[in-house]
Amino acid sequence: MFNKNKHSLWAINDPTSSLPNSLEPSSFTGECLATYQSFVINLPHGGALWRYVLTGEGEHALRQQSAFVDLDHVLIPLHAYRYSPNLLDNLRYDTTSEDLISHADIHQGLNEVLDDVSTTLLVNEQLNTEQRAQGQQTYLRLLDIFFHLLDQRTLDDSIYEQLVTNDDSSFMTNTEFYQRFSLENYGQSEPLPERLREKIHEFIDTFDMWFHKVDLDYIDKMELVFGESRLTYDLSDWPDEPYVTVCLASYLVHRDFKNNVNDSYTRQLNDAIQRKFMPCLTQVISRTMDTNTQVCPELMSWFADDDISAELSTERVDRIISALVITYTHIKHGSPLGSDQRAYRLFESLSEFRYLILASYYLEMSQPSPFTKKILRFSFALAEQRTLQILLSVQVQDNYKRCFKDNEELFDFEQTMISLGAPKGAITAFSLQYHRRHNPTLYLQRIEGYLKSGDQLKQWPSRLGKVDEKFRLQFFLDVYRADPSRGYQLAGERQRILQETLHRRVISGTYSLEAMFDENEIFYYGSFMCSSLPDDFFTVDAQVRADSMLTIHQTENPLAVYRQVGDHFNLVITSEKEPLSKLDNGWLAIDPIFIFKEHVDVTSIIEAVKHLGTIKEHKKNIVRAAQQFLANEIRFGDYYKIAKCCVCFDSFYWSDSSSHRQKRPNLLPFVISEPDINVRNRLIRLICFSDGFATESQFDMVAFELFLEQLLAQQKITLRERFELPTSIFERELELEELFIPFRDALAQEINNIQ
Amino acid sequence: MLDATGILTEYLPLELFMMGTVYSGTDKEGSGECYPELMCYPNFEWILDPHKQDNSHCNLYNGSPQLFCGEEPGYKLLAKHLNGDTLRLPRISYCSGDESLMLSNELADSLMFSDMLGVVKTPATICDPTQFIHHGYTALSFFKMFSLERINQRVSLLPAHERPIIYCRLFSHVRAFLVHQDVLRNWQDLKVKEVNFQPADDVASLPKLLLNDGFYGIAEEQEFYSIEKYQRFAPDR
Repeated sequence: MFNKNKHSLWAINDPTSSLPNSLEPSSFTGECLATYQSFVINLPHGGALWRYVLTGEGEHALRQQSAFVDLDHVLIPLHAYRYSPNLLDNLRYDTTSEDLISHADIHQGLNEVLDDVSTTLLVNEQLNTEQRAQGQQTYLRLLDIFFHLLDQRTLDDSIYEQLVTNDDSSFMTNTEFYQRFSLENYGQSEPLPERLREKIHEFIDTFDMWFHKVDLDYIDKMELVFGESRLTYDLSDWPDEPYVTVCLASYLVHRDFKNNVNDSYTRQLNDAIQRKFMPCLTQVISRTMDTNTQVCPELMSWFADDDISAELSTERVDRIISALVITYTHIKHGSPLGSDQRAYRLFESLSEFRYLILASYYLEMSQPSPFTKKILRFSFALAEQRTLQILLSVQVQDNYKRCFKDNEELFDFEQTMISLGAPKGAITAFSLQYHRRHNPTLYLQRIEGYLKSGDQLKQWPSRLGKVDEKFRLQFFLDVYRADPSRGYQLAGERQRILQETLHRRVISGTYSLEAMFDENEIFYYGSFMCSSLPDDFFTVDAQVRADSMLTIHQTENPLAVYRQVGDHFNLVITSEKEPLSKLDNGWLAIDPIFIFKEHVDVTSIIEAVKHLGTIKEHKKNIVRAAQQFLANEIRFGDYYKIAKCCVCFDSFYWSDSSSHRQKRPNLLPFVISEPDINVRNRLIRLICFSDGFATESQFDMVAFELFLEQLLAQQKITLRERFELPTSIFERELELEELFIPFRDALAQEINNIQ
Repeated sequence: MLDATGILTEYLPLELFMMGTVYSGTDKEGSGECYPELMCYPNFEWILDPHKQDNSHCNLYNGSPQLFCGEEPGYKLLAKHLNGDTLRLPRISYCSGDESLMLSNELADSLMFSDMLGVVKTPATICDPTQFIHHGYTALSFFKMFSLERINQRVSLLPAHERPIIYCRLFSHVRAFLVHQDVLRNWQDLKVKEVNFQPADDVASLPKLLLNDGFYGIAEEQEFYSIEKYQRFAPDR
C-alpha cells in the first residue's frame, strides 16, 4: 500500500551506508550497470533496491514496504538529472520527445534507453551459460524498477519482443512476461481497457483492408494485442466482420492449442467459428457461382458431410467448375496465372475466400476435421498455386520478400502443405519458383536435374502449367541457357503468346475511329458531361439520322459522332435513336461520343464509321498482320497501319504487367532463344517500336538482356552471375554499362534498318 | 464530472476560450468588415525561447527559470496601437507541446502537487508579441499522463489538495487536464476569464467526453475588434 509519509521514504535514503561492499557489480555486468548504480541507490529504499537488482535478494521485504509501488513518486528525468548524468543523456537521445521528456516517452523508448544493458546482459556471446542466466535475471530486475517507476504500465512492445520473441535475446514466455510486467492482467473482471479495444479494431480493420500485409511480422503484432489480456478474446468487443472473425478466431484457437490453453474464451471462439464458418462459406461460393445452377447447395452438403472419404464424382467436379464464374479481369490487370490455370472469381485477390482458407489451415493444425480438410482439398484442386501463396503469407516474416529463414523451414512448409492435400507436382513447381528467387544454387541444381531426367522431360512443361506463365517461360529459358544445344523447349508456343499479348491490347471498334484521323481533326472523344450545356447545343439533323442510323447499328459499335459547326455540334452519324439522352448524373448515355472539327469532311467521317471493325475482327487482323511482318511478308509500315486501328498503343507494354514499362515482356524468351537473326530482329521491332519510334526504355531493356546473353554465350559471366546481375537501368554496374552502350547502338541500327 | 466514478467526480476537464484575432477596428459604416489584425491565436501558445542555444524543452524537469515566447513575435502595428501600454496576457494559457500550462503566479502559487503526479513548476518570464518581457508567471509541466483507471486506483490515495490538476489520457491521442472543482471555484472567485467554467454537456459528462474524440480543451473562439476591447477583455464574439 502507498506510504503516505513521503519523508519516510526519503529518510532512509543513505546511499553510502546502504550499499554493502559485497554488492559491487560483478565483472561482466559492472560497466553497463554503472550508469544505473547511483540512479537506483538514490531512490527511496535505494540501497535495498540496488541489492535486489544485483542479487535478487530482499524482494519480499521490499514489497512489504511498498518500495516498488511507491516508486511512482519519482520523476525519472529529474532523478537522472540529479544522480545519473549518463542516464539523462540516454533519455535525451533515446526518447522521441520534441518537448519535455515525459514518462510516456520513456515508456515507449525504454528499449533504447536500456540498450547498453540489454546488449551486455542478453546478447553478449562471450557469456557462459551461467553468466547468461545471471545476466537475464539482472536485466529483469532492472526492468522491475522501471516498470514501477512508470506506473506499472505494461511494458512497451519493443521490450516484449526483446524478451519473448526476438531470436537473439528472448528467454521468457508470453505468460511469464504478462505476469511480471502487466498489472492490467490481474483485473480480468474489469472491462477491456479502451486502449486494447482500439487496438483490436485497428487490427481487424487493417486485416480486412490489407490482407497482403498479413505475414509473421503482422502476426507478431497480433500476439502483442491478443497476448496482453484474455479479455481481448471476447468477441463482443470485436467489430462485426464475419470473415475476419472466422479467420482470427481460428488463429487464436490455434494459438491456445499451442499454449495448451482451453478455457471459456477458447470455447467462446470455437462456438463463434461453428456458427459463422458455414454461412460465410456458402455466401462467398454462391456469390461467385452462376446463379442459374443448383450446384452450390450440392457442394455445401458435400462440405458438411463428415465422411471424409466421400469424394466428389468427376461429373460433379466438372459441374462445379463450370458453375464457378470465371473472371477475365486477370487479363486486363496482368495478374500472373499459369497457362493451364483458370481464373476463378473465388480466388481473386480481394475475395473473402482467402480468409476461409487461412482459417481452415489454423483449425486443421489444431483440431482437424473433415470440414476443414475438404475446404483445403477443394482449394488446392481449383487453384493450387494461389492456395499455396495464401498459406505461405503467414509463414514468412515479410510478405513482400516471401523468404523463409532457411531451407529447413521451406522443407517443413512443403511437407505440411502435402499433408494438407497439396499435390506433389504443385509443391515441385512452387519450390522451383522459390529457389529461382531466393536460392539460385539450388535452382541451378534443379535445372541440372531436369536436363538429366531423360524420359520424364516431356512432363515438365505441363507440370509447370499452373504456375505464373512468366515463370514457366523463364524456367525453360534458363534450361536453354544451361544447354543451348537443346533449343528453347517452348518455341512452339510463340504463336500463342504473341496472340494472347496482342489480344489483350485490342480496342473496341469505336475507339479505333480515333486512330483513323489526325490529332488536329478531332475536337473531343470520350464520355461527355452535358448537364451544364444548353439543350440546343447539340443538334440532330433529321436527314442525317435517316441516312445513317441503320448502317451504324450493324457495326455493333455504339457511338455518336458530331461535327463542330460554328458554336454548335451537329450530329453526323449515330447508332442510337436518342443520341442526346442523358443519365441522371448529367452524362450523355451514349459513350463515347466523337466531335470532329469543322474542317473535316462529313463524307470521310461517315465512310470511316462504316468501316469500323468489331473486336473480333480487330483480333484477327492484328495477329495476321504481326505474323506476316515476322515472316517478312509485309513491311513494318503496313503492319503499323493495321495495328494502330486495332490496338491501344498508349498502354502497349507487351508485358503481362501493366504497372511498369520495364517489366520483361512474355515474348522476351523467344527473342533470346530465336536462332534466326532476322526473325529475332523483327520480333524486337514488334516489341519495342509501337508507332514507328522506339519505346526507348523497352528497347533499352531488351537490348541489355541480349547483351548479357552474349556475355553468357562468350562465357564472360556464369549462369549464376547472370541471375544475379541487376538489369534495371538504375542498378546496372557502371563497367557493364560502358560496354553495353556500343552494343545497344549497333543493335538499334540493325532494328532501324528493318522496313 | 458528476456521472463518473471515484474521484473523477471531483474534476472537470479544462477548457480555455480560444484566443482569436485582435483587430485594429472596424469600418465606419459598420458593415462589420475588420481592419488589419494586430495579433492572433498562436501568440498565446507559449514556446521555450527559440533563440536560446540549448533550445531543448527537456530541461523543464529541473525547475530553473525559463523564457517563453509567442510563436510570432514582433507586431509593430500592435505596439503602435497599444500606445505605450503593456499588452494584457492571459492568466492561464497553453504551452506548445500539449504537456504544459502557463499560469500567472497568482494562480500557480496556491497549487501544490504530489510527487506522484510528476508536475514541475518552472518560474517563467514571457516575451510578448511586442517584445515586452513579463514576469510573474509559472509554467506547469506535466511529465506523467494518467489513465482514468489509474486515477481512481492510485491518485485517489492522495489528499485532494495534492492533486489540483491531473493530466489524463482519454484516448490514445486525446488528452485533457482535469481540474479539481475546488480549484475552478477559486479561479472563478479570482475572475479568471480565460476558463470556460460551464463546459458543454458533452465535455462535462465523462461518458460523453469519452465518445467525443474531437476534444481539444478549447472552448469557443473570442475575437476583439479593437485593442482597447482586448485589454479590457471584452470580446466582440
